[in-house]
Amino acid sequence: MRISEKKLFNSKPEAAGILLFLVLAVLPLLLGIAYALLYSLGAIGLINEGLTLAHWQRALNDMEFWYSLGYTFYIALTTISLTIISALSLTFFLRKPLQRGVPGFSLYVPLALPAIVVAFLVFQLASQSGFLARIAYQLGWIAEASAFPEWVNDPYGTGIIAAHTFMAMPFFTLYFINIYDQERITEFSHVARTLGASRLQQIIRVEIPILLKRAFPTLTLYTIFVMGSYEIPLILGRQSPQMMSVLIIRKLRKFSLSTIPEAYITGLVFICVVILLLILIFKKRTFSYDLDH
Amino acid sequence: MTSIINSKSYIARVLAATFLFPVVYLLMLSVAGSWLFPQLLPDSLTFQRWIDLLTGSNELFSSLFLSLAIALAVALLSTLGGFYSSKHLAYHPKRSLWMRLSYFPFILSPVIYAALLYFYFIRAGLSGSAVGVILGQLLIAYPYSVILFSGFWSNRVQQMEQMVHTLGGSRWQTYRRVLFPMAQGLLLVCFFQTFLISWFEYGLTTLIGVGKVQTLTLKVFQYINEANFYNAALSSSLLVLPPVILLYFNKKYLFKKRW
Repeated sequence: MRISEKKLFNSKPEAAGILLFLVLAVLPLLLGIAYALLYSLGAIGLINEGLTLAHWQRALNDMEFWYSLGYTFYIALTTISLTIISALSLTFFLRKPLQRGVPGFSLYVPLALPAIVVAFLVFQLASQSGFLARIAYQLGWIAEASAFPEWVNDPYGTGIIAAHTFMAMPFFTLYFINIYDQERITEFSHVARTLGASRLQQIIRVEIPILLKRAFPTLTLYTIFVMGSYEIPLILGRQSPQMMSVLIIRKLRKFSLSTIPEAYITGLVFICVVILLLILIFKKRTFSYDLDH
Repeated sequence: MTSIINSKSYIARVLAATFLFPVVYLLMLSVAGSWLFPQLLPDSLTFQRWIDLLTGSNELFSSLFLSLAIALAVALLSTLGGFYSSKHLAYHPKRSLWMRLSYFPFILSPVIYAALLYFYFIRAGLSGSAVGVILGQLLIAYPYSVILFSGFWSNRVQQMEQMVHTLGGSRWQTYRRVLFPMAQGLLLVCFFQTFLISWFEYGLTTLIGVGKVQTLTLKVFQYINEANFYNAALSSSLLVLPPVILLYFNKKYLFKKRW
């Protein structure tokens, strides 16, 4: 009598497909995290002196790290808030004109722009000698370039937020319009109106909750994307405070070897934040296949 | 009522102009002879930069082909690899776990991911080479491809496959005659999306490529650093060209989450 063994893989093609996934998607991440962790604990690296928590203590006592963490959250949350407000406004008030003709086409144009080009454009348009400053000069509002407000490389990250919002707002407008049509929100609103709701009540009590609930995972993923953005804060940001991605690369590339463990610690903290946010998404949304039904 | 409709379509047109203006501005800057503060328009126009580019005498010419080659390689490998893997992941009992795991590398900042893996690329002798950059970008594009294809595999597709096997079809015939034609649209979307992931990539490319693999995005940054804004505009225009062509053919190639 043969007892059937429980196999890890049912066939060679299945093994190949899953191994490819493990090698390209799982293993590099684990190896990267392991290397960063060991380096941050002094176990490996050019300046290793055996296992120590000294690098972690130094990194966590460094105010630059906390400023960077706070600044990263500030940029991401401000961007996503502005994006939600503007995209919802466009969805409610300009949905029909934005679905046809040139306006309909134009919403897709920012999706065709890479982050580095958007950063360059914001720099060209909003800097003190940029296009907007020139308009202000021609209108007689300013007498010289330096009189124009600093919107680029400023402490509030105005340029960074503007660049990210310019990229995100059209995408989410299109996304909300899609959900609006798919979820038959107009019909729900009609029901609410029949029951006596005003237009404002329909928007606040019916339409916004449906749109935001459906878009929650995508909005969270976009927030993570903004938190990890590199090109835009590199071009439009300043030396201090810096977003985490820029800070990590700066510390990695410094001539002093002593900042490398701090760079890895910042990277590990960033990964922990991403993991926490992803867990939040996974709780809110089931990532099931059609095969599960 | 009519005035509200008119004002809405007027605002929509103003908004359209706002979204289209950056592309016009880039093109104008790329042909500007001199455009200094406080002028609203360039002093003169010159097409010499574009002519140099098209005749191959501008250094951007080689960057254009390098970017194109890297993006095509990444798109092809990640689309085919992602399609193949996603099938087996979807039919595996642990599919929910695989699905969740595929989100981590895709959503992690590419430059931070590259920083964590930089040591391994140096040890493998892949840093500073185009092959290393392709592999690095594949680590981002491939999980994206797996996520994108996850929606394709269903009970219906599985039943079709089983029917082909019952009728004597080989594995290759199943792919060629059934699965590829069925997934044709999604394969194209995935190919173009992963092409754009690679085409737009800067952080990971500069780190893994150690600045030696001079793709177009690196050129844009180099020109910005050198304050050569006219050439930065020219290379930016080249970067924007393929997605705008895609947009012309089909909007859905662009409207997908790439981040």
